[in-house]
Amino acid sequence: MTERELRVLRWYAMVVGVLLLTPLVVMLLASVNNGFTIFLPPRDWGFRWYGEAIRNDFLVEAFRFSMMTAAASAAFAVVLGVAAGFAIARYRFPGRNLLHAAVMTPLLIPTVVVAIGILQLFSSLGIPISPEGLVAGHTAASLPFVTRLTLAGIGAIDPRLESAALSLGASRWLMYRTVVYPQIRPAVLSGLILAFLLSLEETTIAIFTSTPGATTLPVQLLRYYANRSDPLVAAASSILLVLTVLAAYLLDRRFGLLKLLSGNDSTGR
Amino acid sequence: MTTPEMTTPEMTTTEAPPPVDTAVGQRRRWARYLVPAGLSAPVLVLLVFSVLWPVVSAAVLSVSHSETSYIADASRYGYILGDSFYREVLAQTVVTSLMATAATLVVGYPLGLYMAFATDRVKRIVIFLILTPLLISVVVRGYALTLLLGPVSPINHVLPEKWAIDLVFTRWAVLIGFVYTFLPYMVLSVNASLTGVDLRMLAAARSLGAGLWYVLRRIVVPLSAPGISSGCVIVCALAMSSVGLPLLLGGEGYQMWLLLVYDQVLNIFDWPMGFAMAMIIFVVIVGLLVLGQLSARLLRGRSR
Repeated sequence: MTERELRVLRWYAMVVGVLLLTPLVVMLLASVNNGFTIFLPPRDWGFRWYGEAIRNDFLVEAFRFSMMTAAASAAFAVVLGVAAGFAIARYRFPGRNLLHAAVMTPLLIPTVVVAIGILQLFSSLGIPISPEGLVAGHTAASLPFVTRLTLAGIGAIDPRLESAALSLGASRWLMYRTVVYPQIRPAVLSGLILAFLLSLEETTIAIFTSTPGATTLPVQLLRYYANRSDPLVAAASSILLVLTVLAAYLLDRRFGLLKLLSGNDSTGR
Repeated sequence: MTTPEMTTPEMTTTEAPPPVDTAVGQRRRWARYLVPAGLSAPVLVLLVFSVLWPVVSAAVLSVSHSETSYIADASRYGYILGDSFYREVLAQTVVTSLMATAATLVVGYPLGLYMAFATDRVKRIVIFLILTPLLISVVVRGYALTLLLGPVSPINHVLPEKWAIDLVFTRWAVLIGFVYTFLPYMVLSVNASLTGVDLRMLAAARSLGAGLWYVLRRIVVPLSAPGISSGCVIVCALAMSSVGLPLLLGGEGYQMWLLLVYDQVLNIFDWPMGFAMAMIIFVVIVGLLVLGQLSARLLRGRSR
């Protein structure tokens, strides 16, 4: 592509980028309305609803629940996904391709089907639906990503290093700890972060399996919005937005999160 | 929230990468089978409890006589597909999803090109702007859109009064919502299929006298065909199976299939009915995946 054509593309990309930002900016504006009605631009500026949001018991409870669910499902997904990835990358055994396909199935099945399935499983076993169902669903949803990242991570290791470590007398445990783990750590950490964020923003399974006291933040926001239109949702969403963008920025600086997401090695650094 | 290679439909059907034979894999014979079995058993247990069993039990209930008796009864499917209201909403859902997919492709393809070919400093900012929304909850993004497209929208300050917009709960809001939220997947998909492309090939074609459109049509688009087809499949499947966005932007005003499922299961509590409806959209999506797979194979065959 010539310089001029690339310049046109760049302008287009910047325009779309700004358009993508617009609704979020409008939401930030809406959140600083002090009154009960949203005016854009606000007539009465103030941070009153931020205070209301962090004092709202339902939202705080939902935030705590979201964090716990995300942490639990990310931890499970990483442990299970890394184990599966390791088996697939390093061993020949019957059913190996089947295992790989099985780990990837959550990508193919619409989450709504998984969600109602979990409902039905709990009900057919006679147990009231509980957070475990949600965690199981989110863990399954993150599994393909964690496994893929592990496979990519292990694939990049020079296998001779492992043989060298063993032949120099290292025990298997020492070899895993000092040779294999440091090399796949970026992949494992990325998987952990990705699984955490995925669970935090997932709404479908969360809607279907939510019960009073066990509702994630996005679902709680939906519920509140269905009944009332004051700026509380805007304020709470803005807090969530700022936290997420900050986390994304820091993770990008530290681990190259965006490079990871875009699968792009030439991010211009 | 996905890297592109992860989201291609081909990926799930391609075989696992061949194992690397290392000292690790060459243990005593019993360990060679026992260790991988031990490593994969927990995953399989999870998948059985969180995917296989749930999906099968939901499917079974959808063809059972009632919630307590498992006598086969497929009449729900007949009822749903025979009812003109349901048929209309299903068609509306499929058409809206396809339109959203086409719009996403048109908007996103140049962005994918830009991400693959640009080397300037602006690129990082653009990537940040396009990708961070993936990490923000759909509910937050959808809610932000209701403000931008609703009656309080600041756009209405600019437009003359008789053109004042209130798009929330219309087809347009749902469409814009889909394009807005699913754009990153399309961009990533297109970008992924172009990252390995040797730029000198394009320069060579140009220096030999090919025009921009010729190069795009004959080189760039064929090379990115797998990315286009997987991007379209992903966006369309996400659109058809999304709940949060139709809830915020479509509502009663513009029914989408998933809202009917949501109502049946969570408000009317007719689970077998709701499950049958979920299974119908599941079948539609599987059909779409197969179609995408076939078209990718076809396109790849032609570009060779």
